[in-house]
Parts: sequence; C-alpha cells; structure tokens
Amino acid sequence: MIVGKPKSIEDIIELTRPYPRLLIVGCGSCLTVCRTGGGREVSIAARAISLARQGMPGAFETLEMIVQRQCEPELCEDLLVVASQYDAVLSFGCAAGMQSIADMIRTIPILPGVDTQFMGRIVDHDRFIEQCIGCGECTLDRTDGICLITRCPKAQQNEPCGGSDSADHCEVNPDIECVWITFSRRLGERSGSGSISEVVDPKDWSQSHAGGLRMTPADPES
Amino acid sequence: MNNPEHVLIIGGGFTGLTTAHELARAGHRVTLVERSPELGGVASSLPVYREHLGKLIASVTEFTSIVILSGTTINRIRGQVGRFEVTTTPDQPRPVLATRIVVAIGVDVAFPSALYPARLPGMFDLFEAHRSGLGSGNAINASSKVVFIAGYGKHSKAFTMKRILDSAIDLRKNVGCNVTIIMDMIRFEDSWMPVEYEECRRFGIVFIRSRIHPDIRTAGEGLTIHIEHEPLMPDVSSTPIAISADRVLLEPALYPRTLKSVFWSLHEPRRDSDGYYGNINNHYNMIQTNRKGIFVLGSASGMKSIAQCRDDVLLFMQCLSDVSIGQSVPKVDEDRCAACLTCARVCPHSAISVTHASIIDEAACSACGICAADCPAEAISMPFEPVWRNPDTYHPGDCIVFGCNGSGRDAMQNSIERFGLPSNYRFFEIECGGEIRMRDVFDLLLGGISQIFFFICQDGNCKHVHGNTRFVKRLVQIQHMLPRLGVASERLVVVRTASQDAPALPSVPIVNA
Repeated sequence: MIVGKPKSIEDIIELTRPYPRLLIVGCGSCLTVCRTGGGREVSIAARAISLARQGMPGAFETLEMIVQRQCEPELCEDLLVVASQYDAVLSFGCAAGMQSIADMIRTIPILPGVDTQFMGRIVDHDRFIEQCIGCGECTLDRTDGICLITRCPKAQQNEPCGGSDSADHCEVNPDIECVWITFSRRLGERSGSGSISEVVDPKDWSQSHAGGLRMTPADPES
Repeated sequence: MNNPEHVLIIGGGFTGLTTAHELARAGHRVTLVERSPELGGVASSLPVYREHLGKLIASVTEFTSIVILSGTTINRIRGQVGRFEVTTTPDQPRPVLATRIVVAIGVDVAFPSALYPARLPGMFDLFEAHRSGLGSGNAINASSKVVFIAGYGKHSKAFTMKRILDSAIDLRKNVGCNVTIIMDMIRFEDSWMPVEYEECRRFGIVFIRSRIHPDIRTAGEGLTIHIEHEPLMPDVSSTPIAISADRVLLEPALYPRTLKSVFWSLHEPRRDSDGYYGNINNHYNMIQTNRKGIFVLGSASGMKSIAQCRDDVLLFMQCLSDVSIGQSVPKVDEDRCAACLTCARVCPHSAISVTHASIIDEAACSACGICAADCPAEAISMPFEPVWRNPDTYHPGDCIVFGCNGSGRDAMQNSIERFGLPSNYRFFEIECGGEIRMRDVFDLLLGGISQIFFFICQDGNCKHVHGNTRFVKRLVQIQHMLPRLGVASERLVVVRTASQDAPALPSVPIVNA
C-alpha cells in the first residue's frame, strides 16, 4: 500500500494560516492503514489547528470529512457539495488522492497534510518499509521474491557491491541488512528459485518513472 | 458450552499435555504439535514424574477432540486471534485454524559447560545421568561416593532443589552409596520441603554450603572437589575443604527455547532479557504474551516447578472461561473499517478478529475502549457515550480529574476524603486510561478546561494489560504538540496511582485557561 508520513503540526498550521474556513479530508484506504490520514488523524489535526487558532486573530471554522478513497472521483462527490463553503481543503490523502480532488475542486487551494513516501508493506505494528519503486518491469521471479532494485540502495543487479559490514549491514543504509546477503541466504529454500550467477542485462529504465509520466492505455486492445 | 475453542498447543511436554487434557475435559478442541517422536518433554527423563506422565499421555491420547501431531514442527503462523492459520512440517492436508495458541515448548537442558568447560570423567549433568538410569547406568554402586552440585552459575538458575533431593534419596534408598550435596543457595519448590529434607536427614545425606563455585579436578580414578566452607563468625577466615568423589552430578544448565522469528509473521511474542518468552503483565495475567491470543505456559517463560506449570494451565483455563456475557460491545462501522488489524493487535482481551472488517467477540470484550481510541479510521464506537463528553457537565475554567476503574478511581476517593475536592474540580470515572482518545483531550482543552489530571495505574498494573501505556503514548504525542500550538503542556497531568494512594491536588490550577 501507499505509505505516507504526517507533516509536522507547525508546517500544517503555517500552510493553513491564511484560511478562516478549512475543510479537512482524510482517506479511508492506504493512509488509514498506515495510521497517517484516517479519521483519527483528521480529528486530531482539526482540533490541534483549532487550539492554535484560539491564540490568533480572526475567526476559524473547520469541517472534517473522510472519503473511502480520495483517488476515486465518485467517492468524493460529498466533498464537492460542501467545498464552496470553505476557503481551502487540507487533505490527508496521498498525492494521487490529493490531485484527484484538485481536479474536482478548482477554485480553492488543496493543501497537503501528509508527505507521500513509498509503496510498501508492514514490518510491525506502526512500522512500514518500502518494497517497490514501480520500475514497471517486475522480475521478482528471478530474484526469489526480493526486489533488488528497491531494496538495494545502489540497485545492484548482478552482484553485491561488497561494502556490507561484518554484521551484514548495508554500507549505504546501516539500518538494513544487505539485501544481497538476504537473497543469497534464501537461495535454495524455494524450488525453482532465482540464480545468483545469471548475468542480467542493463535495465530498461524507460518503463519506470524515469521514462516519463505513465498511464495505462485508453484502449485495452492496443 | 457456549464458545468451544480450538487451541493449538506447541509442545508436548508436561505443560502442553496438561493443557490439552484440561481443554478437552472442558469441551474444547485441541491440536498439539510436538517436534520429537515421543511425548513427555524434559520431565520424562526424571523418574519421579514418569508415572504421572504415563497416565497423562494415556488419557490425552484417548480424547478424540485432541489431535496429536508428533514428529512435527511449526512452519508458519499467520492470521490473528480467533483465526490463527498454522502450517506445519510435515504438511497437514489443510492449515490448522486455531482460536488461540499456547506456547509450551519448555527449556533446553545441557551440561553446564559455561561453568565447567572441561568435562572430566565421572562428571555428569543430572539429566544425562537420569536418561541413562541413575545408579546402574552411571556405574554407581554401594561403595561409590556421589556428590551433587547445585545452584552455581548463571544458567543453572531455578532447577529446583526437589529434583536433586529426590535423586539423592533415590540413590541412598536403592543403591546405598554415600551422598553429599554441595550448594550455594537452597532453592525451594512451593513450600520448604520439610518432608524431603527430613528424609534426607534420615538417610544421612550430607549438605555442605559453599559460596565459591566448586572447583573439580581429576584425582586418580575419581575426582576431588575443592570448596570453601564459610564460617559463621565474621573475622574468622573460611576453611578450604577437599571432598573426594567417584561421581559428580551437576545441576544442568537451562536455556530458553524459542521458535524462529520467521514462523511468527507479525506475531512473535516479546522475549525477556534472559531470552524466555515473556508474559505481559505480572499482576493480572502471567501467561498472556504481548501478542493477542498467544499464551506462554510452563517453563517456556522461565524454569518452573511442576506445580507452577500446573498453575499456569489452570490460569489459562480461567482466561477461557472468564467472560462477561451479555454486556454491550463496541460497534464496528464496516464501511469505515479498513481492516488494518490495529484493533486486533491492541485488544488486550483477544476479543477481536478481522476478516473483511473487524469483528468484536461479545464474550471476550470488556469494553475497555482501547480499540476505539486507537482505530485510525474512527470506525469503532463505544456502546455508551460517557457523560464527560457532554460539554454541559463542565464549565470553562474548571479542572477535570479522570480516575480509572483499576486504581485511579480509588485513589481519587482517598484524595477527596483527605483533602476535599475543590469546587471547580470535576471528577469522572473511566473504565481505563486506554479509552481516552486524543480528540477527547483536545476537545476538553478547546472547551476551556484549565487542567486535566489523569489518575491511572502504575506500569505493569493495568487491568487491561496495556491500557495505561497506550494512553500515555497518546498523551506524550499531545504534550509534544501543545507548545507548538501556544498551549502550556502542564495543562495535562498524568498521575500514576495505586488504589491506596491519595495524591494531593492543587487547590488552584497551575495554569489558567
């Protein structure tokens, strides 16, 4: 799922300062699951901003809403109805959701309440880890279900860089185990698993974001 | 039988077997997984327990509601409380679906090589000695001099004196050899074992206490043990003593056993500093791990006597039957629920399972409110609206005191009796600190409350296991934010109490609204 992290309360207060009437929208999908943009975070943000505004001149009013998925226009119709009564929207959805709302609501600012970070999965309650950078050409079968592109900071495809320390930590990011060590340890556990000695051609990065903005084709046949 | 459970028991030793037996008697289903081909575990190597174990195994194998998978190990544990999915090696036709999991894997027993790295001829650990047959199996005959050594070394903790005493008496009775016991500290099981000590005295077993750990050396065909006998008088130096022996039987070293992390998915229970699977709450529940629905019974959480293992089993049975039926439970709004598993993970009562949305089990829920307060989607609502959420119950400028059902409320009553309640203070009873949502605290501050006191239980004492901890986590987040909002963080005060405390409240609030 998409994982984000909340912006600091100071940043949010600064962003929303010019607006007396604020519509705060959360998202019921990914950002709820990673505990960043769900109903709870929205209600906390609304109250925190209100408290801060008590000490500032001018009136302040806020409405909290949750939509099941901000990236789905049909699910955001209730938002459209009320948006005209507010001066800005503070969104706790991911950037995809926010931009979808920005397409629907054109006349007032759409402000980000979170920083969208990565596609990832859960490690432990409240901890998430990036697993996919969306390179567009999945070869997880070849690498035993471990993405060497995402999980190796150097995206080493053919061999480890050799920089890992004596405790098997990556030399770029000492918080993680060298993924090549993980890969080589797991080899053989799985039937038909990838080969560490197979030479891999240079990656076609045009399939990733490096090749420009991606969109699924309009006609499925083409 | 309202709610038959299906419990997966990992470990077929004394504790696992006893648990299976009790569960089957109460009408529940059991799957018991034991990695070795035989049942009985560590206790089966001790003659004093063999007869009882034999009977236990016989009765367990008779129940059709108990499925025993011996020679089997756990492969993977997935799912959540109420719906654990467990696969094994070798495979079963389908994964085992269990409502709860009992970890009864016991301890590893080994020669105390940390203390005695060199194994000298004639030196055995007590378990090894029993396995080959105490007495004849170790070439002990009536003319042998046998010395037991107990209580030394970090890893040999808690092997109770009872086993040593029983073994010593066994040798005196059945073999007739000379027996001495050298020890650092006397360790007792349950009571002070007057019967065993009396018997030892009758049989002429000699006890010697030595503070330093015995130094054992080969001497001809036997061994010599060098110790220091500590005198009673402070200024008199200790006396070195050398004891000769044909056989030295050492208290074995015990090591915690754990299952590999990869088996657990997200459910791996916390371990304590010695490496044993730990319980979550010494005061209220000594067998519940920090993972919902997963219990650790018997020696798996630290060496215990047989009687203590049995107590664990009885406590576990109580957990199953200790239900409050018929109270209203929190409601889950399925449209808002994102099935993120937060509630299932934070529920201290194993009351929540998740499929496409959360399901709260009426029988297990105690309405502590932790799930509702932690739900990131605010999809869970309590069945009642507490009175203090109604702004009509207080005025701007008031102070509010919350007292929890565990100890805070009692502490508050004591406080009022002793100091009186100032007129602008409002006192509200809550089930648990864990039910207070972050938005509630903000609402009170926005409503002009000068100061809020939270009287909650001490660490480790929460009746809802970790309601206090989860609440404090939220409060710390708020207190971190408050200065950035131009609000003094002293407006929130957490007071950790016990029921007999009477904390004083300031008669004038520290900070005005």
